[in-house]
Amino acid sequence: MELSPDSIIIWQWQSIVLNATILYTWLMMAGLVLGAGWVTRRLSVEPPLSRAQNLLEVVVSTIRDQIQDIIGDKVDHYLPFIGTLFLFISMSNLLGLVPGFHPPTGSLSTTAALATCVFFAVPIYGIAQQGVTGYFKHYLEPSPFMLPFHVMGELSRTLALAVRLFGNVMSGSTVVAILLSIVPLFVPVVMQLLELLIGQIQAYIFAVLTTVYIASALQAHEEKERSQNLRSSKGDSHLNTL
Amino acid sequence: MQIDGFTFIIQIINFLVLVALLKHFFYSRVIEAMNKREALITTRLQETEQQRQTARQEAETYRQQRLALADQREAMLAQTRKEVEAERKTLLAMARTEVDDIRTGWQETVRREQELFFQDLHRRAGHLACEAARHTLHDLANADLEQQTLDIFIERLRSLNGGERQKLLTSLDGPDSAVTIRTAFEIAPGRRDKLTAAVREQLGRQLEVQFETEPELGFGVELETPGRKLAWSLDQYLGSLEEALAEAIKDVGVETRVGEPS
Repeated sequence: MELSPDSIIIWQWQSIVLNATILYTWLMMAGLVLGAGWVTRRLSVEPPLSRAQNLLEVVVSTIRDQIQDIIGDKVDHYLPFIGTLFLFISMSNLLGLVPGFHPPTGSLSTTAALATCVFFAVPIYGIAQQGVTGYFKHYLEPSPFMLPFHVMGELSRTLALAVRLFGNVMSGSTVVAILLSIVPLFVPVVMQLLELLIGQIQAYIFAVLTTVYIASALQAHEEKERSQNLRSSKGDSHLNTL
Repeated sequence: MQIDGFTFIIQIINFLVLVALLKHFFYSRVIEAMNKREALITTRLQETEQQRQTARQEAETYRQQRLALADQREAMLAQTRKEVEAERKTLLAMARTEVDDIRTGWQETVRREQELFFQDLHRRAGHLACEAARHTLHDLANADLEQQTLDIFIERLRSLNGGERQKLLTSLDGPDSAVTIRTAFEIAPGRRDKLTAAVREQLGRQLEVQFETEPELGFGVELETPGRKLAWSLDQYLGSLEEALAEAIKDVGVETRVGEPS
């Protein structure tokens, strides 16, 4: 039984390996980009709107509202990164219900890659907002002795992001595979529905946590942002328990 | 469970490429469309608000105009009522004046007819009374009434008191003084001499005495000097009779009928 789509080799040439993770990622990317491009090719400003446009606008406005609630400012600046994270994970987990489709998020390489992107995105956004000195200064606060703990915190939360997502997706696929061999009727369907719910929740958690991390990196200047960061920290601790 | 290095790197690149592609093909377009729609809705809301404001102002203007029209209408109605009332009063006054004129004319006509009636009555009564007296005197005293009349007049002339006689004498002081005796009947020449003698006896002069016959005088004798007149005639009695008849006619409602509007 394959636990990771990384091990499914589709094509290989010397050290270049095209495994299921990469292939299905490309397929999903193609689907997302082509679908979005097809719908947005004929966007209408005035009603009536097409169903597809309505759906896309609902998705975008919901993500914007979430970012607005957590970060509060320059929403469209963070939307492509956070929105793409959510869409990628959400679509991957959704397509995982399709027989024969191996969700890329079931690969630790993929989740690690996403977590790594978050790991680098957070300081990039922080530096873009506060400058290099302003951003790295908070690693030395309240005392320079806290620097190792800050670094460990950054690394551990990145690792937690990757493993949490991978674990949830992989466990869901594994549980369904095991149940199929034990109780082939009805129970796997119910478990797949549960897996669908868990997959969407994990996409939401991953995106929200990313937003919270970015928001915490942006903390400093305004009192409003501080209060939001306080709220974000509470959300972080709450979401980390999931 | 290991992380495949190649897959890891490829997935990072894949994700970054996907971010770039979706940013270009998805987020930018959708956000642009949403912003345009939001701007459009904002513009329409502003236009709607502006139109609502305009409509409110116009409604207020129309309301003011309606109130002004109502006030103007009330004023015109009041003015018209006043004019109608004035016209009504004028017409009423004219009608009353006209009615009064008609009534006055009618009363005048009635009065004139009444006067004519009494004159006629007067004449007829005088005539009948004279005829009756004449026949009576003729039958009883064997003398005609005219003779008696002249005798009575002569008797009265002789019995004038001092004051009346002095007044007649005073009126005859002028250079062209003359005495005119009028009767409704022709006086015989002998009677004329007798009358002339009586006049000259009483007035003490050689006066010129003229005789005139005037049927309108009625039954009686009249002596006239410049400015004075002495008469005895049936007119005095007939005048009393006329007044008595007039009072009698009034009593039976002649005046009441004359005063009633038709």
